[in-house]
Amino acid sequence: MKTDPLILPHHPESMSPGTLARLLVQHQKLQQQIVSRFVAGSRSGDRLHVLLVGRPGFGKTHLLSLICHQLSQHSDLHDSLRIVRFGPAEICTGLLSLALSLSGKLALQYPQEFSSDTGRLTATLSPEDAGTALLHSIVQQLQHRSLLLVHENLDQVFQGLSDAEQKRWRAFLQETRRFSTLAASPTLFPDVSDRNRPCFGFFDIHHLQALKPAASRQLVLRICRLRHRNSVIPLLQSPAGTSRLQAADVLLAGNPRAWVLLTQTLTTRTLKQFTPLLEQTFDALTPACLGILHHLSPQQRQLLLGLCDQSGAKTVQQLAVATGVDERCCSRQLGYLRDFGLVHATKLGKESCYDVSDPLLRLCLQPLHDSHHPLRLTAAFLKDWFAADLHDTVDDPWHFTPTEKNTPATAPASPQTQRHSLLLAEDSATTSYNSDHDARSLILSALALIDQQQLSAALAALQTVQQLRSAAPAHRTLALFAALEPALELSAPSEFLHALSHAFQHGTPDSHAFAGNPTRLLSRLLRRSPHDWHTYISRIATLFLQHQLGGRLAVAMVRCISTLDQAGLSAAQLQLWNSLWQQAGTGCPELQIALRCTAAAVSVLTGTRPSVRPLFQLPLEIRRLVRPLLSSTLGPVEAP
Amino acid sequence: MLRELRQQTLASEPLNDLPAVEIRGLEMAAACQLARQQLHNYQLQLAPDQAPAVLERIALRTDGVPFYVAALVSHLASHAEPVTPQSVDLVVRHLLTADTDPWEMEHFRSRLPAYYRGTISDANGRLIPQCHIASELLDHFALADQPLSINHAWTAMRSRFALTDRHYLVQLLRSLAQDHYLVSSSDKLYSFRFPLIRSWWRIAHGLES
Repeated sequence: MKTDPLILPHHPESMSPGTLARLLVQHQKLQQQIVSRFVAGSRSGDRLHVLLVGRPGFGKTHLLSLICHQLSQHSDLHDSLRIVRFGPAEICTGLLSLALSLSGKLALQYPQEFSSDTGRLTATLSPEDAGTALLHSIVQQLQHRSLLLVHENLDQVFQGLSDAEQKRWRAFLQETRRFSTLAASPTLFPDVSDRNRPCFGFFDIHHLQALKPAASRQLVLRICRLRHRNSVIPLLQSPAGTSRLQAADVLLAGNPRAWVLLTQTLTTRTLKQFTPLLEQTFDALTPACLGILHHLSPQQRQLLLGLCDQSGAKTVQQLAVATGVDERCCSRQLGYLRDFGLVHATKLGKESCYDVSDPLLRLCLQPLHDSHHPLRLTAAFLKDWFAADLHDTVDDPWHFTPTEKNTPATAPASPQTQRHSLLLAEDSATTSYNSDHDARSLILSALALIDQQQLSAALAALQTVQQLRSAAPAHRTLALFAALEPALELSAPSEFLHALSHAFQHGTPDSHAFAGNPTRLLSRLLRRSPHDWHTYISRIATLFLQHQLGGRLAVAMVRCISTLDQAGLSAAQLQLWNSLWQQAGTGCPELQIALRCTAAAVSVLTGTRPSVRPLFQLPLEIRRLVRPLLSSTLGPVEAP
Repeated sequence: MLRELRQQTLASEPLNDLPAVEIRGLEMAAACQLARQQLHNYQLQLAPDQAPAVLERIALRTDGVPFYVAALVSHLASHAEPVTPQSVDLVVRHLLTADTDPWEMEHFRSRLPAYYRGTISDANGRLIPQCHIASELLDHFALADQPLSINHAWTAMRSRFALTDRHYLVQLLRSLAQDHYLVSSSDKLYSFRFPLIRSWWRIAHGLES
């Protein structure tokens, strides 16, 4: 029987070296570089002092553990290198305490080579001299060997060393040239980043970046392979799986630990449901997020929590008012939080707006209950947002069959080809209906006609499909909803609304084509007279919500911002559009994000001068989705 | 500026076929000659045994830049008699520290935001203004007692910022050299191009202590 290898997101040091190596993504080159430099240094006598800096969960311990293992197994270093590892909870209260701890560990790990008889030194010498003497005694016991010190949290070690001790420590390392360092720290701390401190410029610092989406996907796939979850692998490789991973990536922000936690509960079912998958991941991450708070002062904690709501970014002044903290103090503390990498500042004119830099942290720290669950709403919205990209381009992912597992991801194609693939998918899902070639070819030609704006002909063709007895339910559903697009432009409001109700009533709810493409529908609606908007919007909203498709409608409302941006509507028309949607969506949690996005976008478009400021009312991850939709008014999104 | 032009429309060579001529400071002998002439114009008499040392000190402290030679002698004429090597040092120090900034050294700092526009994203996605990195880098070179390698600068900047792109730093060093802040030797060690500007930078940024 196959057993799953142990994967420990919070304690990678306890994982087997083989598993660590297989789960290392994005940083392989850095790992190889560091190992080969240590090996070369061991031969040449050059001592390296490497510091890895990265946020909690970014893979520092993973990398340290793997490098340590490779160095300990290296044949050239077998007799010439000794490794001592200081864990994350190790406490250092001075140079003597560091030396004592080191001596104890050496005696424990290498009893033949090192003794821990430190009593004589500590009893006869001052603490200052005893520390140095002990270190020199270790150098003597090392004989011809060198020593690699591995520190999990170097910032905490330095916190325990006074300025003079740091000087002595550096001098000792440089003079004896027998110790190397491999260390990690969650932030770039002043003891190494301030040029007036003794250890400035001493460490070779490497900053670990968040995982890129491709690396996150690779990590998830590798974990699934290690755990023999073969059924989910082809799905993850499909465009549908990719869209779910893209949605997760917005919230997990390339945090490897979060991805490992997500993969622990990943199955075909949880991937399809998605929201519970994210909720479980966040639940597992909450203790780590709360742990971050323990490193902050009460005031910093208060300010961070003040930024943890869904009301978007705040200026210093707004945050000071919201928290009751003095404005100057607030500004200074925000500077510290920025240095810790916990908040992100964006310059808007003379002011800076602050967000929590990690959506993961923000959502974890928010008070959640059933009636207020921003994580659930955001996850559901993101799921629909990225799935909407696929509706027109690929087959229905949840009718996925294992025979398709080697099918490469579909590249973006022309609308006609995209729809063709949709049809093919419906075919594959309904193999018992092979006699509807007429229906399929009619739909294909109708879709081509819609793209060419030959709406009457398209509508006639689609109505014919609806009459065909041989048409598969999936094709009939497709025809029903596709016919709404030409109907919206050609028919009277009452006729269109009747067709819409009819489609919802007679379409097959399980079909991929059910609900059609609401984004295209809303974009066409914007071309109708604003006098009719009220009738359309209230009915469309009602039908979508009745059929539990509020999420699809929400995405369409937000994507429609791009049309609002380009349609040249007057301020009054834009405000009417917004107010009608606000009325229609009152009390519907699924539409809340979309309503806020629409309101913010309309504020941008009706402002006296183009300004991105209204978008700052949106949470960071949503703002990043909306901003490119307003590129006509605000200009293209600046690449850093 | 050239870098910016290249990034915009003139990708190949904004200067086209114009030959690039670098105007340097005067050689030591020429700078001494200029200083002697200027002192003579101001009718400043030097003790015969002090003259070579004073002229050499003026040439050295002004990096042989004619503008600074003239300005220094003019100041010596009105503020420091008799002129000795020590008084030259004192006057230079005064000119570098005066709040009125008679040598308009502030220009070297204030033009950084214009020359190094835009931001780069660090390892945490935080945007760092390029002028901040340039300024930090100049601080580092101002404090260094000897020319520094690219690797040294890269290590130092990673201690200050969460930078991940070494190539970016190489380009920045090159730009700082093209903009006359730094100069590189044949073995690609960088240092301040003009010791006078380095002295001012150390004073202006409070790095002297």
